[in-house]
Amino acid sequence: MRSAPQAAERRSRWWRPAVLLLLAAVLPACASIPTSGPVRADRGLRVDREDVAVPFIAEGPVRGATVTQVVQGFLRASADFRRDHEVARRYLTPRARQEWRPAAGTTVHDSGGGPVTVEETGDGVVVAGASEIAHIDAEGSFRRTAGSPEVTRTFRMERVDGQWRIDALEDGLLLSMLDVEQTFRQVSLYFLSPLRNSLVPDTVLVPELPGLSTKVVSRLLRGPTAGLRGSVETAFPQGTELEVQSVPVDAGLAIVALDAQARRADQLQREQMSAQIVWTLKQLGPEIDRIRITAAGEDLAVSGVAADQGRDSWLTYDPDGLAAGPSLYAVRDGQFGRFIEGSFQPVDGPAGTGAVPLATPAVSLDTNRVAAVSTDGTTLRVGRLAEDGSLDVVVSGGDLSQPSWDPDGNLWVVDRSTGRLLLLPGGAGPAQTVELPRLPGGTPTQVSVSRDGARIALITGAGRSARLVLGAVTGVEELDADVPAVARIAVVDPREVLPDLRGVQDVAWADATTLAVLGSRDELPPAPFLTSIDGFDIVDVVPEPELATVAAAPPDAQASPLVVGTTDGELLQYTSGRGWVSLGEGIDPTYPG
Amino acid sequence: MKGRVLIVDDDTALAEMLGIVLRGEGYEPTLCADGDQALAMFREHKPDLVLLDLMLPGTDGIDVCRAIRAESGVPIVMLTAKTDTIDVVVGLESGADDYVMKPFKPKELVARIRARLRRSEEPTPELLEIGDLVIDVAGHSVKRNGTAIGLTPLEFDLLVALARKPWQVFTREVLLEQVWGYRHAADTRLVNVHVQRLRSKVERDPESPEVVVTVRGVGYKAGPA
Amino acid sequence: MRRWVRRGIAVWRRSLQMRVVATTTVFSLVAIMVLGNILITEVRDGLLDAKVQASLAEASTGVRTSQEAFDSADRSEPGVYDTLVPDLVRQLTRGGGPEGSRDVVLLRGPDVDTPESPLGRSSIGADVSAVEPMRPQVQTRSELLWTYGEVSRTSGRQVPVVVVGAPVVVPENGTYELYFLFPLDKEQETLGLVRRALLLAALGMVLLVGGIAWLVTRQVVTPVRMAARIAERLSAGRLEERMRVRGEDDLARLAASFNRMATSLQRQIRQLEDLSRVQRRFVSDVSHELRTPLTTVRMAADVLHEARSGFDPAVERSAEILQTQLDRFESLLGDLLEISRYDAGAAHLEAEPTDLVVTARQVMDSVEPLADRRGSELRLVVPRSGAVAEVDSRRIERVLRNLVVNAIEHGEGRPVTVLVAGDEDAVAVAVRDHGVGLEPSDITMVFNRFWRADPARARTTGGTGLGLSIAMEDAHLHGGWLQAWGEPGDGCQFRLTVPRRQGAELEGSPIPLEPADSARRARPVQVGAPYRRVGTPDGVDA
Repeated sequence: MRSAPQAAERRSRWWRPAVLLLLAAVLPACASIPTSGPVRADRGLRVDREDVAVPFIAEGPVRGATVTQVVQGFLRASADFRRDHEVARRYLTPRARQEWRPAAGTTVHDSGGGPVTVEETGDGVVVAGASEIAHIDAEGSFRRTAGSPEVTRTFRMERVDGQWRIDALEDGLLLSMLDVEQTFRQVSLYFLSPLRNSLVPDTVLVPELPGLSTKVVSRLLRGPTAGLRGSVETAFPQGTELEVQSVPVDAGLAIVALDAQARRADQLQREQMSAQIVWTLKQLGPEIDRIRITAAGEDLAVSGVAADQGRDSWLTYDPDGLAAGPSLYAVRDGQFGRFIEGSFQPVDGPAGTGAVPLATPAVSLDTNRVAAVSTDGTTLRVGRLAEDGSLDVVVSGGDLSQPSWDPDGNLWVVDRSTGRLLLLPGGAGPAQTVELPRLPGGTPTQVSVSRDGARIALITGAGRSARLVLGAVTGVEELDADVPAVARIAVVDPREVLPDLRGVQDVAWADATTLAVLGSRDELPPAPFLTSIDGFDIVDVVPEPELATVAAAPPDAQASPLVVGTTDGELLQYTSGRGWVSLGEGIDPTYPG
Repeated sequence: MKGRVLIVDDDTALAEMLGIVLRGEGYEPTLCADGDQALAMFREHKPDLVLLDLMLPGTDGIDVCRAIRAESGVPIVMLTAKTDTIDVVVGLESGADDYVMKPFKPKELVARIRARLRRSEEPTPELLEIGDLVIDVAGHSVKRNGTAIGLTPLEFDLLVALARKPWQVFTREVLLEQVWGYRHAADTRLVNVHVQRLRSKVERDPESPEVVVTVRGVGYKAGPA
Repeated sequence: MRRWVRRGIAVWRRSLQMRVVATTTVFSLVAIMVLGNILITEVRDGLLDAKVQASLAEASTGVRTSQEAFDSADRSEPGVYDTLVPDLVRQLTRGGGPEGSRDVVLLRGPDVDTPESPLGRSSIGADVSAVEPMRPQVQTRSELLWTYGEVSRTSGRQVPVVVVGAPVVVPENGTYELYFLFPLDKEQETLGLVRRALLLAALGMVLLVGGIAWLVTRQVVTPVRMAARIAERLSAGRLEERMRVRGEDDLARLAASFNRMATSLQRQIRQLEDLSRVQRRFVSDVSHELRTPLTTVRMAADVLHEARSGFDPAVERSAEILQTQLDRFESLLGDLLEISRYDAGAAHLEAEPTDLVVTARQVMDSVEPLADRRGSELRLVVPRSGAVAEVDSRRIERVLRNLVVNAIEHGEGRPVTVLVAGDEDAVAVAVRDHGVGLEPSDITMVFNRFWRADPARARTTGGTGLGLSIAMEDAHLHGGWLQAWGEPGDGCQFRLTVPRRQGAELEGSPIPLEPADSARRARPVQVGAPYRRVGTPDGVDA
């Protein structure tokens, strides 16, 4: 018989490994993926956020304001674009708050910050009146209004909780020019020329608020404004949109996240899309240094280009199409030459000899050819700028204006005797008549095609009534010297850039969105000035008497090339800080294009 | 004269005393003190019974027993001081019909001798069958298919005792009483040894006996005729 | 089941090798488990750390992207956030990785109360509940915060996630909370894989260690087992058995010393055996040498006795005395020789199935004259079915005769009852008398050689004084018991119990030691029981 203590001891020895075993079996259960735990901090989250300055911050209605005060407050607050005019909407009744669409368009008046006339006409109706000088449509296109007509806005008032509020009003905004200048910014949306080899800017006004990068890109994706529709192309596949309605710019890098539609684009399209985006974004400022385009979350591959495209990419699509520092051409003593280092050098070939007296010359964008009219204005000659070149007559008869080259090498000229606009495909005959709509101010007397080939500046009428008309060119892509397709080429959407401009003597393209004009505004003596093609931005130059012609080229870091010819046959160049400086004798100055 | 008895014993005193007692009972004893001479004496005197001491000088009692048995079926009664089973069994196996343990009472010895000599006095003509054997009791012969089988008188008596009552199972004690003449229960080894010897002579296959069948726990019986 | 457990415990207790292997296996299992656990924890920590770092980096970028996106949103556009928020959440959810690799939740913070604010929605399918515990901290701290959580998938599966949250300032709206939920199912999978691999390795390792332990212990245990086997054989009497000595290591030394011990034992045993043989030889010789003259004397005395009537009365009486004393001398010599045979270990059992009822009856018959002389009535109580056991009937008969004669002699003329009974395993015979009985102290003595209950009455009764001793030896030779019960004035009972089958061990007796008719139930005294058969009886007298 075993004794009890022995048995107990054996039992205790038995249990020890069993307990260990149990422990070992249970332990691994602890080493599993946790499903809860304390909240831990990883790192500080100091996103460099500086709230971008907002041009105008309005105030909401005050208690006990009269109906006119409410309307005046509303009109003031209309310039605050934040949160879809959130402040202005505070002046509205809830119903009106829902219905009012401020983006319908903006009427610009000239009160210059001064009070708009606001009158209560009884029955809770308030009428505000002002004279309109311009209008911004829903797309942001700015147009000057001729004749400063009086416009009124009618507001029906309602009391809400004892406070007057606007219950009914017209859509859109009523802003003074000063407000517009403060709160809007003019930006160009870049589209493709019909031949898709260069960009064409479409200038629009957008409220200057943070998120401009988003704004311009989304506008770019939406397509050109009404005036350019049909004249320009866009490379974005149909329906392409921003994946996220935001184009963040961080440390010089802007990220444009497109949706999956963008991936349908082929290589050429991708290149052109990139060019459109880069050009559209880089105008916003030097803080945008690189641009990354993604499609559905992946970098949009564009062959030969890094994922982050520099702001200097796609210079070949430059709408101005000119090499940096273009030479000024002019005629001196019947000889055609150009200024090199400030001195006049006749060009090689027959044009430089003076054998055939030339006037109003035009140099093609590739600077290989010249077109000029005889001094009597009856023949148009075109020749290569080379020793063995010739000057061939391509048009004879009529009263021909200064010709103008488009980027595709077509030559445009106006026959004043017939009032027709002629086009010489490839710079050679036969001349085709370009279909023109009815133009303000009558028939054209002068033509200048923009260097991107999408726009055409015309002077209609003559003398003191001469006006500046800007139109868009359509149908150029059909143009082929071998296949006559005259009817297809047309100028559409003609409009006066500055309705009050008269006595326009000469016009030249400074760059794709800027015209150098010699004319008289507001009944003032003729003076040179620069204007954006929508007339929103006008830069006056120091006036100089007795000016006859103007030539301009895109501004660069050194200067904004602006040259005028006096009636005395002297050439003057505007130099910043020194005013007009004489270049010496010469007439009909011109830059290529 | 009741019969001649050859006493083979080296102890002359005992032999003489045996002679006195047997003579007193009417037997004719002859003494032999040496195992070497025992066989010669046996041949010379042709005794009716041999009293043989197992421990002898010269030729061993066992050897003498074997030698006599080889020549004759005469009853042999062993005298032994050894009670160890092996000795007794060896003695019985070498051919002795019975044994008497020293010290014995003279009457007991005489009873043994008388029992051994008794049978020859009553010849009854009788023919028995046991197994495939035919026993002629009077003729004192056993035959299988006409071939005679040599048995000692004791073996013959044992076989006859079984064959006379083939339906009866004999315990060893009964056999001892009927064949050996013991009044009281004695050493049953006598029966065992003699049954073995009998079987070795009459059975076709002593390993699976058919003539003398063992009844486990009881004793023996005759095999089916 | 319990049988298996018991068997397992038995094997455990019996086998050193099994114990070493089991212990080694268990401890290595524990060690491997602990190590494996550490390993798994390390792996898990590594996985989690990597995932958390990656998640934080991604979330950090995401938060920054979101902040920039909100900052750069076109604020002049009406309802700009209506499209921006879902687009942004979608963009963040996609995160440049495969769909479903993370969830994004954008919630309106508590400081944003303008109802027209378009925010406050979560990405599709995201389980917002996981971010709830974090919200109070995210709202108050301008930090990237993270924790672990769990989300339920649309499939109903629970997936562990890392939740990363941070505040995002939405211009002119307020502060929002941006949460990223990074699922950890890949890590879970990897961990599961590692765990499975480790488990397999651990299993293999444990088996290997167990196998090695088995092999190693085998080297030690095999010689030990061999020694045990050899020792068993030695104890079984095969004294020439020896261990094989191989090599010179500890085990070889053990084997060598074992063999030396065996040799020494063998020598001593041989000496004892030799002594015993000499003794036996001596006894045998004495018996023979004594018997032959005794026989002669007996015969001479017999002749004298037969002829006594013709003698002088004194001589006649002398012849009678010579005769009776010769009888006594003879029986004493017989008993002495029997005892000496036992002492020499020369007793052999010739067992065969015997009905003890028959034996008892024979004994009763044989002692009938004695009983008549003593005036004792003999009674026999037997079972109807008989009581067959494998016994040496000669010895049992001797035992019974001894007991019955004893009972008659001490029975003072009162009845003597012989009771035979049997059960499944054993058969017993009890002999009851109603004589003077025995003192309890005497009960242990009755089996002693030449012991007599009353020295004063010595020699008056017959017997040699060795009868009960021989009976005891006979009982032991059968593996049986011989026990006595007695009370002064209440007589005695001797009980012989033998197993039905030779070699079986006795566990009890079919007859109680104390007779049913005893005056009082006295404490039974067992003497010399239970008894195992051995070559030489030793100390059973006590």
